[in-house]
Amino acid sequence: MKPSILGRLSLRTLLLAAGVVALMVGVACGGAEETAPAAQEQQAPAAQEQQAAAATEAPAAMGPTNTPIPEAMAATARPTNTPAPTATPRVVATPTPSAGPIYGGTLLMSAYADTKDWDPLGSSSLSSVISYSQLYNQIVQYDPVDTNAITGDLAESWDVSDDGLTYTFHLRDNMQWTDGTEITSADIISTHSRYANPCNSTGRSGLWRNYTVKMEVADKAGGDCTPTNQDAVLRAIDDKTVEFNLQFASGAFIKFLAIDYAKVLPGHQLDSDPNCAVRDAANPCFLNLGENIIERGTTSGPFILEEYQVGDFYKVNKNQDYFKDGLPFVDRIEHYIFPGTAKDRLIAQFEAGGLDMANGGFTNLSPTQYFDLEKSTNGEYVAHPIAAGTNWGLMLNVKKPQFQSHQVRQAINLAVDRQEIDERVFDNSGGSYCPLMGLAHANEVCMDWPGIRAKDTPGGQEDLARAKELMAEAGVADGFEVKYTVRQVGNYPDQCQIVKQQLQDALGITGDIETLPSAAGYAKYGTSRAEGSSGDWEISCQGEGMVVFDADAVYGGVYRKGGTRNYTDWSSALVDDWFESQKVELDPDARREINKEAELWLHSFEDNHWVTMQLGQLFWLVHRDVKGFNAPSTVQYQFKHEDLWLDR
Amino acid sequence: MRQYALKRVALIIPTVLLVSIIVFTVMRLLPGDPALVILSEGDASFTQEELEDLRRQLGTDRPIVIQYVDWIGGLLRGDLGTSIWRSGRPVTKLVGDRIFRTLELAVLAIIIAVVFAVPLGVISAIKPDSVIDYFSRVIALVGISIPTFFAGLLVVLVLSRGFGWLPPLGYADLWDDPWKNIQQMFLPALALGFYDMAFIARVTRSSMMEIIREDYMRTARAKGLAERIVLVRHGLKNAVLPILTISGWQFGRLFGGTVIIESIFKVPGIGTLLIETVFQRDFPTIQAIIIVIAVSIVIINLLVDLLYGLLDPRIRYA
Amino acid sequence: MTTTSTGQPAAGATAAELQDIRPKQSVSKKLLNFCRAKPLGAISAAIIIITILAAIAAPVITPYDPFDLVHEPFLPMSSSAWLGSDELGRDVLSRVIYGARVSMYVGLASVLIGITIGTVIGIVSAYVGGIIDLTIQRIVDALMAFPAIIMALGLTAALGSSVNNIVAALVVILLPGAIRVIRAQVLSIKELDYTLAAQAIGARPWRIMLRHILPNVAASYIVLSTITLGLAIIIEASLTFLGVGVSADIPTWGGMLTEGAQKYIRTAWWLAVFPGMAISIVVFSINFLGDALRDTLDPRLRGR
Repeated sequence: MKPSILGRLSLRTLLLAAGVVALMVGVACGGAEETAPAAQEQQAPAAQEQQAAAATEAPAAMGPTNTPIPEAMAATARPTNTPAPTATPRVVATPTPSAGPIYGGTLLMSAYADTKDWDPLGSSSLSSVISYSQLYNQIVQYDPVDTNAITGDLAESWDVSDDGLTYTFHLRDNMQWTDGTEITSADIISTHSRYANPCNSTGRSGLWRNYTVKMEVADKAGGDCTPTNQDAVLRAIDDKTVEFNLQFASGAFIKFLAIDYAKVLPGHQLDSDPNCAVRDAANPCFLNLGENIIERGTTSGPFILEEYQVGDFYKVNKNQDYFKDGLPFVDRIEHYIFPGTAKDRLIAQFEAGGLDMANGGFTNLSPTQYFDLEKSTNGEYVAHPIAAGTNWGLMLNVKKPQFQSHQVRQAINLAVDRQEIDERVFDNSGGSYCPLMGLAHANEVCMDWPGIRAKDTPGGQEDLARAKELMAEAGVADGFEVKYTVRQVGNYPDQCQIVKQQLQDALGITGDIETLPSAAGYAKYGTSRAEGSSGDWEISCQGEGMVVFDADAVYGGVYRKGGTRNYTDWSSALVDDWFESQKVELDPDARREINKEAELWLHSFEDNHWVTMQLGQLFWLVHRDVKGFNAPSTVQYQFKHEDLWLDR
Repeated sequence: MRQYALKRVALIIPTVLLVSIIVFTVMRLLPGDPALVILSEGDASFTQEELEDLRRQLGTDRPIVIQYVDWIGGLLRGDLGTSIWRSGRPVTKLVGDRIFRTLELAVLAIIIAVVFAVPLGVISAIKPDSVIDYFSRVIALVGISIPTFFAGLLVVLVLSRGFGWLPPLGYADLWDDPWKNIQQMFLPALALGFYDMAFIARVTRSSMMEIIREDYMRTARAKGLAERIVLVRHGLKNAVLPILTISGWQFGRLFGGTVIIESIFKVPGIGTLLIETVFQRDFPTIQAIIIVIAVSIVIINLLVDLLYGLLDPRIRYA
Repeated sequence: MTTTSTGQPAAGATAAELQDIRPKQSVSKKLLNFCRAKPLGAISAAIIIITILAAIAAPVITPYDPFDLVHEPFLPMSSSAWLGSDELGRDVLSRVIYGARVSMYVGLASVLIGITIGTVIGIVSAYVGGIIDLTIQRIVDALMAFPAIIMALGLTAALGSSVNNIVAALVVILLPGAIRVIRAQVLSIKELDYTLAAQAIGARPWRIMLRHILPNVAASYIVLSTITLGLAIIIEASLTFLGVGVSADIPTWGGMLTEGAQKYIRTAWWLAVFPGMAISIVVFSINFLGDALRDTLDPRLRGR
């Protein structure tokens, strides 16, 4: 071949190539233009609808200026605080929806990750609870309609002693495991003594044990985990009555007992496998594998696990003999797993109408993507906000030299522009900016606080100036360098990029961002827990998903030694005192006052490690044909799906 | 030929051994102690004691050589260890369940690639400078210039937006539900095979161009054979060797490509498993997947070489 | 041909056929000839050089700081934001220009280091032969058993995903291919008359390697470098897609493309399309240049 021919050939080739590229761009642009007008047309009504929905469904959930929410939530969240709440068992025979539910149909749901564990023991992953929740029941549960109230599940009713220290649960009659065995208090004792056993990590299934009498075991160090005081913690009065003993009166206890993690498992099956008593990563209880549950597990819940394809899907069928008469409504639920790498496919699947709902408020999508989906499907899918989603924060490693000075931490608290983050990352969907998430001060009060008030106001400008002064007082007037560590999950990298820019502009704090896969990130944060080690991270954008909407959860997650998001084991005697006194305070108003005091102190940053950014919302994306759905107030419950039905 | 084959097979042993050492060493370099990863997941509050206990249980506290010998021993028995993340599932089962899907995807991709590439290459070799020639060359260059993941994402976008169609959810194995399986596998295989199609078309074109100029082609034509027969019997037959070699070699690359394509199209093969386990620091599973892929590639290369030796007498000099 | 040569990348098949000593020409004359013979190869080269220059001069030529939230989020193309703005309100054009830095740095650094080391090892392996050659070939065999992307995934997961670690991983990936191609070629050069003659008159091995062999693999070196550059850039982008690429705050083509394509392609197509075009055009140019260089430098094709 002659070079000249090749040359000519290449010219034409390039022209053709340019054509192909142009075509590609055309496809991309054309597609967008085509849909753009439609999207715009829809926008106005959709936005109105959304506002209307927000106004009726969750008045407190939208926007930072909307303060009544936390108040209202707090009011409904605390009814069980009164020493003797009367049980209000739900009449399940006549479900509440007005139009009358329709039986049958298959629900298609997305899951955000493969099931980590099928055994609730020590379970702390949302990916697990959304899988096993349909298979088992709790003693008590959150009400499917009034999602802040607690109602019976296995229990028909319960009493609380006058001193608030003893909870007695009365179980329903005629409840059976799928193998025909009767469900009795023995099952509860077997399961909940596992959760209470100090040899097992607390996970979320055992969070209630922080309120009960501590379980002691024979010799934990020597590996003998036999409880020595089990009856003092919980005991069966008879076949249908169980009693839990608390260390102090607290309304939070039952809220933790009601989350979907605290499942009751078949006692007779737990006893049949010696691996079940104590959790051992290498030799897990046989109920920890979905395959084993299908093959030989026995369950009690509204659905029965039928098929599980690791990493791809799991399918459940209606339990025909479910002890709640008339439930569940749908015949079958199919769950398809869409991990973070399949985000695009997930959106495409929703757009094509191939899924009915996301199972849970966490799907790897961002608020913006939810809103876009609402628009692009003309409102076929509705994003239901979960008011108490995530406590987003900027986590400072106080063991590192940069953050040892409280002036520096104070300066950061003042310099961070929370509104900008809310606007750019969360599409203005954020809730309270208060450190205690609206459970102490109302958000409108916090909005005037230094550091929180808008940066373009005189007050905000004062804050920035004061922050610079503080840096100078700490001897780092020109800032310093710091390494940001962030998990590649959700919006974390976006948040950190903005924070980094803000701190760089305001205080001269510069640095690189290191992004890590989720688990590796947690492992890195964990390095600072070791005594005498400051760990391998310095500053991070993290969130703490609220387990229950209660101040105890905020303290426990962030401000107490050993807390989930307290990787440096920061602690303060003051906070500990406030925590203890509010924890046992049964009068809601008095409790709120204590928390207000604590909140003011936390925000002063005399000593603190967590710069609260906002109470972030999460969303349940649900097709409008799916009825019986009411958004829960936190992301950690409402996965049994026995009340959902399909209007098709 | 026999001697050549024996020598070639014998050479595999040191290669596989080296492969295993490389895999094992690289995995030990991974930051993030798996015990720490397990304990820190979700609600992390644990003691140093718990951490050491878990390390003992997982066996990661032992000297590295012992761990290696232990692992190799298990490997020879077909035991790839226990997944430390997925509830103690045996890795052999995890990988075994998925390897065939990945293989199916790769085979389908290579078939699609060859089916399109060979005619394209032959035509452009016979008629250089024709429209088809330009087309195939542009396709070839575009094919290797667009990242696989971008092509995959575009396919999903065009399908869902343009046609409102997506492959059905919930993977079905070929023998359970062939129709559903093909619906699910065809597009990922197409996206995956695009690059290889480009590559194979180029090789076909250049080897055909060389062959067309060979004396025996002229002889065949001179004998008065029909052009079609000349091209297929004498031309393509001789071009098969380089095409075969390249296809075999591409197979290895396809395994890599499946990692990306599987995650976009949600095919539960070993590619998706690999990514998940890398994020989870699940050493036994990562090791197992990589060693299985590497050994498969070594074996495929061996087969290609042997076939090559069988077809081309010149190679049997050894 | 040796027994191992069947597993080599296609790039080697033609590059390995270089055999003759080419008449001496001045560099400028060579360049001019190349431009005349391959105008599109030259244009491709120009695109690549412009990209490299843009990457170097990014702070000077970008309209905005790539990290500043200068616009409203999701602005489409306009006179103030030529390529629109991203989800946080950063300028896409500025980020695309900055993105060239990582892509070009990772690509050029890994190719230069990888192919150079590979060439040296290949020459030594072929020329010295014996047990050294055998050992090197077994290691190359083992390394070639790992698909590039899987090797990259494993190595960056192990080393951490800084820019330089990705370069290191790519070097390991590019090495075996380069060693093979160069080795095969040196083996044939070794048997050529002039090498034998040099040996016969008692030239030292290093002198033969330097004077007789090195100049003859130079063409392969250039072609190999060009061809693998595209591969390196694509692997870097793919790593970001898989979540083990460079840190999220550094603008990269791969990162922008991934974010844009996965999250916003339905609402803000420009976030994915521009970085996608940047990668595709640059890699396309590199492949085109590689083709042109191969045609020019490959005597067998040149003769026709």
